[in-house]
Amino acid sequence: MEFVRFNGVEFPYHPEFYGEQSPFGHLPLEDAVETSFQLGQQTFTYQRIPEEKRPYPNLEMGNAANMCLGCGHIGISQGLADALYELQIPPWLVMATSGIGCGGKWSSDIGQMLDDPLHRVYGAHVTHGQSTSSGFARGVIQPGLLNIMGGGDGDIASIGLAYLHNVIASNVNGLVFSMTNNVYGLTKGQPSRTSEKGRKDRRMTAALEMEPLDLVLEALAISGATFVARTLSSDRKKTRDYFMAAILHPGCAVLDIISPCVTWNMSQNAGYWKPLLFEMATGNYQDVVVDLEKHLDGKFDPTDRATAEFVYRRLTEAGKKPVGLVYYNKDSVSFQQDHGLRAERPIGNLTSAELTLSQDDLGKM
Amino acid sequence: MGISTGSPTRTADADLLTMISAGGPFPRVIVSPGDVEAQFSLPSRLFNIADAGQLPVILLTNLWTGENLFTAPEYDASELAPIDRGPRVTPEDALAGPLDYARYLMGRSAPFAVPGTPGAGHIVRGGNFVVADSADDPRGRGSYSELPGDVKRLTEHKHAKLALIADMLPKPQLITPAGKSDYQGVSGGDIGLIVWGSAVHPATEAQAKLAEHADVLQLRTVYPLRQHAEQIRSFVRQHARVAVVEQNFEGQLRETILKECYSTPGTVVPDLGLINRYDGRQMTAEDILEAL
Repeated sequence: MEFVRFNGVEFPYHPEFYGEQSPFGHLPLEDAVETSFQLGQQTFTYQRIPEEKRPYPNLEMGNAANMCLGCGHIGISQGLADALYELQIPPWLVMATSGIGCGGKWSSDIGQMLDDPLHRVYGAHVTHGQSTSSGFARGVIQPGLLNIMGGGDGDIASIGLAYLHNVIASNVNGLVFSMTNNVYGLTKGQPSRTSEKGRKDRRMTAALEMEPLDLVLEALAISGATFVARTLSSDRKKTRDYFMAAILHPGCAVLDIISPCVTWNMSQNAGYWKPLLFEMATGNYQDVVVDLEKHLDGKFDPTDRATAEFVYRRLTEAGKKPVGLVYYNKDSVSFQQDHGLRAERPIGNLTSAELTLSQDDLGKM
Repeated sequence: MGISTGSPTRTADADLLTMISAGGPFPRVIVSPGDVEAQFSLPSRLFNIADAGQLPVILLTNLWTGENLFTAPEYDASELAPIDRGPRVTPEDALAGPLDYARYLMGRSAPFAVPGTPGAGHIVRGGNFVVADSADDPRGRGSYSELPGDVKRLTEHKHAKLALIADMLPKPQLITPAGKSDYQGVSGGDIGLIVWGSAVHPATEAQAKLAEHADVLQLRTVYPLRQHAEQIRSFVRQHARVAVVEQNFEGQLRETILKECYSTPGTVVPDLGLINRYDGRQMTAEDILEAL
């Protein structure tokens, strides 16, 4: 059996599925050109198939998505669809797992709006907060598939926080993204765990007294984290690049994506965030925290974890919202690689004979 | 295996009502093997039930059974049911021709495609989120819908699944002083004991010590009970005194029997006794004899 490593996934190459005669489209590996892109100072490389030869369409959901006009979640889903299109990962190798809420709908929408059923992904709209735990299980059972887990901040940073810790610590190959809008949108505007201290709107009887949870710091604090980044949803191209890097990364990548809620958290729109954002790779530290400039010697290095956490905290204390690749482990080895997990075919297709225990098997046990 | 409840590191059979209602209103099957032989032979059948009905099957055990030493006959692989994964779409099917794949077909278990099968991508949803072969989605691919008509039809579809697997559910076992058998609807005597979980052991021990004739009816499927209701009612009718023997305070199986087997209007509700122990220790034959 020939296994192919291609743009972050490793799968058995069946010519019937991917070859020139395939009814599902020919994946022309021979036409792929090695291409690079930058996130800060870090370079990521992938096999780019020229647009005219791509077998799989963009899974963009467009206007059919059941979202408020202007919702940041739309931009995030589009960025993800763009990344999958650019990397040309076969759609049936994509497992999309989401939880509940506005941030849970993407797995039902992405690729499902296409007329052609050949290009649907495998989505799972699971229970609240369980996108990471379910996704972890799916990734271990189906090591050859691309494992995308994502939800809103209520899902990832609140009810599902314990599972997020486990999935990061295990470094299962895949990516976790949070569409962080700092509000519970689907349930009509209650403050969430990431809402800022002091928030008070007409629906609340008192101002919020709790300090917010910072998902980037939370991910950084877990030993075993190998890729932590934050970006803003309104830049579609940049969102795509972060998704691509996260998919290419061997291990668990965590993306905290700021996603303005245009209905229930209108004050924190893209215009509110832009002056607060601080690009960690290119920002002018001199203007924000003077001593950092000296410490960094003019250059922020995301591959050094202690520096990453220190710099991130100082920027936050100075009132900034740091964005960019915060921490990145170049030597990451995924859970699947570490355990030698590869599957020639899905475990769910094992036959009755293969699954039934004989007296001999029993004796050996 | 699953959640631990009750008194920490102590034993009970007290999770039945929790499991019946846990997670919301979807159909489920709950089975309690009761002894180690059944704990070996039943799970293979339970996997088949889960695949045939495409619904969760819950196996209830307890600490006492899991942590004690028992003498059992050597395990015999021929007691295991051959694994049947139910209707599936495989990559070979996908290659055989254009696949107009329908994951969701009303009224039956539609073929399941494992992720990685080309051309059969679909959505799996939990809870009450709805996929339905509605007018918008006549081919049952599974489109998003919260329309009242779709929710109603999907709810009915989910609950109709129990009928698909009713015949596969482990049947009540009759234990007479002479031996064990599937209950055929005929038995009779002074005392009838209905048991589940590890209460089966003290119940059969008490049976041997009693001067009167006693029969034990061991329920392995503890939920749903409707498909075995006639047998349970017949067992109750044919014994002068009947008690449910179980290891919890509320009488959870007794409550379930009354709800599932005696709730049809006009049904005469029997005088069903309860012998229970709920101090975190395994019930003994003496407990039963004393209560009787």
